[in-house]
Amino acid sequence: MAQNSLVAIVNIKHKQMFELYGILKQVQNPYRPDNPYIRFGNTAHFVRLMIVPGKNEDTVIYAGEDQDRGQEDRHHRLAFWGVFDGTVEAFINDIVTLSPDMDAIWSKCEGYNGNLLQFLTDDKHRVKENIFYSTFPDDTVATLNEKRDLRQKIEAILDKSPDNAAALKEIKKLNKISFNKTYPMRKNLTFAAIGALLLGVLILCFVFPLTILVVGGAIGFLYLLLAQPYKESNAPFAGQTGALEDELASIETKALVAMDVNRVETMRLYSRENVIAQNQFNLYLTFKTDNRWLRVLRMRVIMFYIGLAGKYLLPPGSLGGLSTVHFGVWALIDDNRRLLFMTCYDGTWENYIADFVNHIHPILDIELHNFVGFSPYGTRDIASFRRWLRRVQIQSSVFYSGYPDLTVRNMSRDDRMNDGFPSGMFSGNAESWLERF
Amino acid sequence: MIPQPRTVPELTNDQWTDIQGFIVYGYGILPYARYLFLHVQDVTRAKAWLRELTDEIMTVQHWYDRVDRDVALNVAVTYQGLKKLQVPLATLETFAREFIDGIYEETRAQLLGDTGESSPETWQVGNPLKIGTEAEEHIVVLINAKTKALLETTMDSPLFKEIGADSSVTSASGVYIVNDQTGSTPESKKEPFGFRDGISNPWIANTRDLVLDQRQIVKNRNGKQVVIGLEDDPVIKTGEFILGYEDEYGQLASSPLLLNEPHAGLPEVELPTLPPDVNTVMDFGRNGSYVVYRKLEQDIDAFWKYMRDQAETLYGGADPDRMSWLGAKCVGRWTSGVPMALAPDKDDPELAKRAIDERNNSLINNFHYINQGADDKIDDELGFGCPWGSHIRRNHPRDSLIDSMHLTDIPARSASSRQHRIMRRSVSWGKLADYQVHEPDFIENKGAPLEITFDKDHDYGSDEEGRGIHFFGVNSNIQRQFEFIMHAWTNDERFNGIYDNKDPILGDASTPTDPTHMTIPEKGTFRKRLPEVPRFVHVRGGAYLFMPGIAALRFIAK
Repeated sequence: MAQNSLVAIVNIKHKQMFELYGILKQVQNPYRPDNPYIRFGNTAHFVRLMIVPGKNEDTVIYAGEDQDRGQEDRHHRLAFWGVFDGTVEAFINDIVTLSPDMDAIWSKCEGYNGNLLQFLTDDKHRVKENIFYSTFPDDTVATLNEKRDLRQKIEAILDKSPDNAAALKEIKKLNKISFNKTYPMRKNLTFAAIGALLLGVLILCFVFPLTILVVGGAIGFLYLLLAQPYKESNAPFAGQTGALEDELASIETKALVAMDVNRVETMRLYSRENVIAQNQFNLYLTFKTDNRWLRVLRMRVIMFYIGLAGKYLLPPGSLGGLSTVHFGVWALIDDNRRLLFMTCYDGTWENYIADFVNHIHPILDIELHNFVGFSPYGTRDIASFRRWLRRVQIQSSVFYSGYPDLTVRNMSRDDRMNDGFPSGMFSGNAESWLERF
Repeated sequence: MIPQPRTVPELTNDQWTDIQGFIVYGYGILPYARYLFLHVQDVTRAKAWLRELTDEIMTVQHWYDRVDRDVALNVAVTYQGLKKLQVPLATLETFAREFIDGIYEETRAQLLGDTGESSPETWQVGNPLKIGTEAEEHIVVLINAKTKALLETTMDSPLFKEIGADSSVTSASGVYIVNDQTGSTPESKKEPFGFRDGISNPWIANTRDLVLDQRQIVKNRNGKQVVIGLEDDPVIKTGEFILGYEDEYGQLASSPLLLNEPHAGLPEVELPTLPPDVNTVMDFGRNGSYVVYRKLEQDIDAFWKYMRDQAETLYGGADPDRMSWLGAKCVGRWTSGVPMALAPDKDDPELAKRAIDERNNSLINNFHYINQGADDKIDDELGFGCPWGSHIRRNHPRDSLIDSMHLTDIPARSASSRQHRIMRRSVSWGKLADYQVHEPDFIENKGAPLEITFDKDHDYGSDEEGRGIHFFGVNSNIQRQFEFIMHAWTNDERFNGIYDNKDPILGDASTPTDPTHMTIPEKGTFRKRLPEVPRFVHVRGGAYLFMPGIAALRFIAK
């Protein structure tokens, strides 16, 4: 069953924001299953709801950050992101059927007429994702949970077993979790397609030499498009002053107050994060106004690359070496004036940012350089980068997980355990399979 | 606009007179320690006293010159202390947030695992309930001495005689003692559980030649001559431990600033633009560092009783060797200090002895986990030697973090680990003399295996109330270093892909609703799993301190 994603942003009715916030607070992050408002079905991987603050009642979350807001930004907005197995219809139907009083939430939003499916999938509200990344695209909520349950059963057997033979005898009574794995085939097909494309271009170059100019021009354009922000963000040792300047800014009274309030917000975020194994992160970024078309184009190229790699090349459980990201979504919104980035990941926020910087800082630099407030010194100026992220981050009010105890690394291990079930495929024998527990 | 590169200061020899020795040196030859937590009663007098004290401080240069190395004095201050000593408000605000908030801040305490009976409100030292009272701690004087007598002589010196005993009278020094902690390092260098301690500390870049005079150039396993300590446990950038220099991100660590004081004797910070009314910005933190203090109590009885119970459950008897092996699996090193990655099957006492005799910890600290190829004798990817969940593999994972496994060489794989190092300084406290494990009934009474020996004749102090260590962690970024290690590695049940394991030594361990295990992988068969590992180490005190450079200290005392 295919995984799907639904992103929607809706306007909150005038003066209803605080009431809605109060309701969402009862649903909670992490999600409280006994809340009196909303429930999610067993096909939901992750669901989040967050309030995107509007212009008229700016909050400190990004005070002073945003230079370019249109009329529609006067509204506070409610953003919704769900990742689920199967169809949107079935996913929404579960919410409608199971929720005790979900209208308490949606009735605070403009245009809701009691039909949630229609409301969230309406062109005015549904946001088309530019990329949807899933680290285990072949898994369903059920298979992930079943593999975890299988592992726990085996662990219980191992705790009581005197030796390998006794353990295996019991383990073989259990059933392997079966599902269709498409990754190896996808990867091979992709490589074949890339090979065919290159071959085609090569042939074209031979047949029509002018093609070389076209190809060369395209490569040159891409280089210019991507290299400049990277260079700008990576002037040698440029980073250190960013942190100092940030500190210095705090000396001015106004900034001091803002920083302190911001700090309260930061600590609030901090205390909510990493409560379960997973965490959530949302960025609401505004493109710089100068040469915006170029910045949007650059972003599209990067997203195309990430989308291609994520969908067809990267192995399950690893996003460019990062084994902490479950899902991610990138979407250009508000007539391409902003980017909404949302992700589910494991571990601490601090760890996540450091991981990102360590593993993919060139991509981050090229990407984030296009947005208002990003440190001119790039992600290597980690102190400023962190502070900026905290400022442009929006916390989910509601964060639901279909498997709150599982990390990506856990899932990878569970998957390899399941692959080898029951007689061992790690190196072909049961002994080495058992060694991995 | 491309930002202009700026000059990054590099630690040079002329700075050694400005850096306190405690940051760079472990003072291994000064095993007796006393930590005076002082309250400032009279600011003017206290500043005068602090000026006198500053002249006596052991700097890196003093220690290196090997003159008068019997006693080392160092000083650090709390955030409340800086406020009390009237450091300008603008400067106070530029200190790291975690330092301003304090180690006891509610969210922080949760992340550090300082909960329940280890929560800050119960602490003997640094208790937040004392903030704003006459028992608020402002200045910490750290005294290390060669003998206990020298420690006492120091306390009898005029400078220390001026310190008041309590708040009842105004002392000549303007400060009085609110907390007096003592400790010492036994000759065996073993911490209270019986494991050799103080082995794994990073090498600070540009200070290496200070310590290398006591080191050797040796042949590595390929027969190539190398400076020991460089290969697997490389030099860490200066800025990770000393403010004002480049750190592992290639940046200057965030440092407190001083405004409009061009004659404070501090280096100026180059900035492209200055706020209105600001003429000069000086680096107040230069050559200083942040120091994390933790008073930890170790429940030796519980630790060895647990190992005995597990040995009985898993192997049908409390064999001392098996108990010792289980304890070593939890730590990741044998009691001798030899790492299990180097000696997976049995301890290597000869190697341990050589490390002591040659005063060369690198012999037992120069290792990695992931096999490098056919010539590499180490192969501990699966944790058959040193378990993934063990104390040392969590707190300094070296090349074994899953996300870095795909990289080709040790420096690349260790990059993330290098960004979260701390310089550890610790001494034992409490009366350990009761633990004369050579007594025949020791196993029955205390549960420790026979080979766990403490120095019978060593005077461990007079504190009858438990035993443990005073831990000091030197780092330039408390959040990224100390707090990260505690939160993301020590207390994370799912660290590096494992399940339901916390650090069995330092972690905040099982709660009734959330039991944690210790998984011990075994070659050829399935793992052993120690169930419901209890909390063996309890927190009895803590503080985030700032250890200034000498110039900054003189400014504070002005």
